[in-house]
Amino acid sequence: MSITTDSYYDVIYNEEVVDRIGLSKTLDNYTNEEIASMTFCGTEFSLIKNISQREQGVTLLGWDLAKPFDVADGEHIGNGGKYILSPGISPYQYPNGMPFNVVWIAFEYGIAPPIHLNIHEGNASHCKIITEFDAPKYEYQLTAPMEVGGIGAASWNVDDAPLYTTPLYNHDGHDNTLVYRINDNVTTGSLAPNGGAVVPYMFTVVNDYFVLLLLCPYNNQWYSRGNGTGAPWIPDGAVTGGGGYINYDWETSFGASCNVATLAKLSFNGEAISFPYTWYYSENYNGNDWGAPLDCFGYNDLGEPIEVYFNGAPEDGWGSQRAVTLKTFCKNRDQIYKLIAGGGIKFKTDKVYKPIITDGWVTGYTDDMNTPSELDDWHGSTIHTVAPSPPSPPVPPTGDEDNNDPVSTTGAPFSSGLCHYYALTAGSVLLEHISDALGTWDIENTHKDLYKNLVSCKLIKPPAAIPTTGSAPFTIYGVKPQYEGADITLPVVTGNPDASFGPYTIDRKFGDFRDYAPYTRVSIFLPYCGWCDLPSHVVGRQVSVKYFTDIIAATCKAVVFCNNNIIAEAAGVIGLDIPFVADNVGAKMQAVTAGMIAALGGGIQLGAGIGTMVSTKSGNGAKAALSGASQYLSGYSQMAMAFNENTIEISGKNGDGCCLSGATNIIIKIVRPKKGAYTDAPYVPPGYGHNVGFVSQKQVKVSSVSGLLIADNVDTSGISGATEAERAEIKRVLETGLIVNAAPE
Amino acid sequence: MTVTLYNNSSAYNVLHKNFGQAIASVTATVKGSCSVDNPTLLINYQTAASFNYFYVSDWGRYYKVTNRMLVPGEHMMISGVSDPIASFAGSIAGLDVYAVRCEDLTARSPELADPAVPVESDMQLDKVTGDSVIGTGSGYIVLGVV
Repeated sequence: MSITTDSYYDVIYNEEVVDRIGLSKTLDNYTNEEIASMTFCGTEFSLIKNISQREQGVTLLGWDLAKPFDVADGEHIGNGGKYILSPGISPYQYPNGMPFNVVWIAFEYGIAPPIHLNIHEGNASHCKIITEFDAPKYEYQLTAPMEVGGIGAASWNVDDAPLYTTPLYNHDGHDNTLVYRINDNVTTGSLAPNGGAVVPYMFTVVNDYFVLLLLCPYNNQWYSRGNGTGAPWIPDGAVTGGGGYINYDWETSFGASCNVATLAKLSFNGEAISFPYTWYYSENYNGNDWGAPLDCFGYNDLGEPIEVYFNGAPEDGWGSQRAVTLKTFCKNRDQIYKLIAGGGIKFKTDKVYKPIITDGWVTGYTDDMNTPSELDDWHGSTIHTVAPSPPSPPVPPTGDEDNNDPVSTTGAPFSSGLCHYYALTAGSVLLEHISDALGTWDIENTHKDLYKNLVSCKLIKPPAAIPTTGSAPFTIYGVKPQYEGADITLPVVTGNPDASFGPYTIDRKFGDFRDYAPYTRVSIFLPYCGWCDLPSHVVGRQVSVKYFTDIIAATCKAVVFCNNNIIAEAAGVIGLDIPFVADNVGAKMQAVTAGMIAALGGGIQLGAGIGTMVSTKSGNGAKAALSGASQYLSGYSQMAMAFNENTIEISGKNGDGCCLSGATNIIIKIVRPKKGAYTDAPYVPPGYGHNVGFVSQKQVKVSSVSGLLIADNVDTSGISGATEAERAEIKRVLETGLIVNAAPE
Repeated sequence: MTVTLYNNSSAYNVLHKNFGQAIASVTATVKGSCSVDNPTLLINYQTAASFNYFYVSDWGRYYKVTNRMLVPGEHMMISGVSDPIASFAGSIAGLDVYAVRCEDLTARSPELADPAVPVESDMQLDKVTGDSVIGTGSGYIVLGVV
């Protein structure tokens, strides 16, 4: 192993420094067992060694200077024997609980031939080492000459200012060291040798850890991604005369070939962060055991959530931007996240979820880390590419401690056997068919009145599609009235169209008590229901809304959740009652009957056409007077008109917040004081803390704070040597305001 | 008895006062009965304007000068009052106290209401627009039949 640095490493054996290793000193003289520990500039760290020429591809190494770990052997690290070096584009793994962040250099590809990173030239000692030092030291390491290479040479910039150029294609066999400071934004320049489109990659180093990126190709084998649209591949056999080609990509992915809804990118406070990009080497490669997925650790050291963008669809080319889905996780400081592609993704939302992998497939997720999973030893297993299945978003509670959980009526009312419901698209011509069929049937079967079996007719505008089971013949009172000799098929309702919305985040503005009542008031507009006040503790949290609907009554209840607890609910109307009642029909039928009687009394013969119709409908061939038929038709028309009129009658049924009026979107309104002239947190006048002091109400040691301190009920009995009067004076000053400052040197 | 003279530039309620360099260490004599809390001492010093605090090492206490009177023979009669804040600063620094208010943001409890913070009466309205709940379609006619 060749470590290139202008610092030194101490090799300690039996508590003695047996050697100090300086620039480009090889460690190959030491066996694993001999090296007890190592220090870097006096700070102990752990050694990752024994990177031999037989190691292929890229090995990403690093350690936290503050938390050294043991070396078990050249390929394992930590007491758990975690695998760290790998053939190929190496996976790596670190002991649980170790904060660690990965910096992964991305190399861009153009069109064929791609940019080649020739780092080995078949010389085992020529590794590429990219070192990263922690911020406080501000150390630059630039120990090898940076040279502009041949094909594909490109500029590397730091913070958009040229720092140096480095050969991405290097025939000279030099070791190359690229060094970046923490928080540098490093972008590749234009790397397309042949004019192909290039999307620069950018990453930001965010953590204060020492990172090495070692690139060690194996025996001149080629690692290439071919034309940039498929999975990475390795040609069989060694390739001579060329160089080790290592291809990278991070913002793009291999989703097209392995069907993984892979990570698109990570960001932190809106900024892209170090390469969490993890990719999976397809099991299609059978020349080596590259079946294990890659993973990535991250460490939240600022307490802001990490954002993960998931590619929503396979990409169709390099660098193309795709629709992404944003998720946030690892929300708290000092949390560690781990992303695994191929084996699924371990999310950290409220909990850590571990993929349960059985026979190479992700079968589920669990927050119990003791649940067995092939993930525990994924180096030895082959994990198929699967679409990551993140934990479900927050859902309304089903078993919490309150007793007001709403219960949907979906299902039961629609399968009672007593009534059944049909859902037609409003305005559908089927309604006229029903009207016609019912009227015709009633005329032909005067001893029955099917209209009386129509129990409700409502115009509904629900928050979701009404669940139905396809279509079935319109059946009423066991009868299937027909229209023009055929059954009328209608969708049969099977449930209520409940729907969930959100979650919606309500941001804080002040970061203090002013974000809550009585200073801040929050209300929500719930379509169908109107405005509803929310408790102010929702500020800084997420709320979601679920509508529990009842299409039988054309009503709904909107329930607002915050952290799975119900915080508000409101009732509303989702539709209009169409006054379609038997009385209307009865009156019309009475008119029809009267007309027919009058016609029969007049003895007027039925005209041929009408007679045919009546004959057909009644089946008895009865004759009727023409005038009677006219009245009959008149009455029928009136009846039909009554039906039609009634279908559009909405008189007096609408209340406030009716679905036909008002906004259609959920709106959350936050009314809070303006910040005034104070633009920076904590948004108080200058000198407020010094002259007035912030509310504390905490037990503190006087020396642990600085500036104004106003205490209460001070106990000065611990001050020895002071008189009662002096203690009283000390107490008085502490209770009226002591200015705490550091003791003079 | 030795008295060290200082020129304190800090406010009385500052824990560690800025005494700067000692102006002089002089010999002091107690004349008659003398209070330790409010002593009057005769010192071999006559530069009147240069000090406002003195420290009596034998008593382990700092005193704020309350009166200075020149005495013939290049002497000065000084009176002072004990400053226990300065005298016991180290002990005070080690006290655990219940802080009601504090300038240090690390001890701040931002979620606790602070009636002293000025709050603008003018309000701002922020809005979160959520999903569209009511679609733009014509809706459904739901027929219920027996």
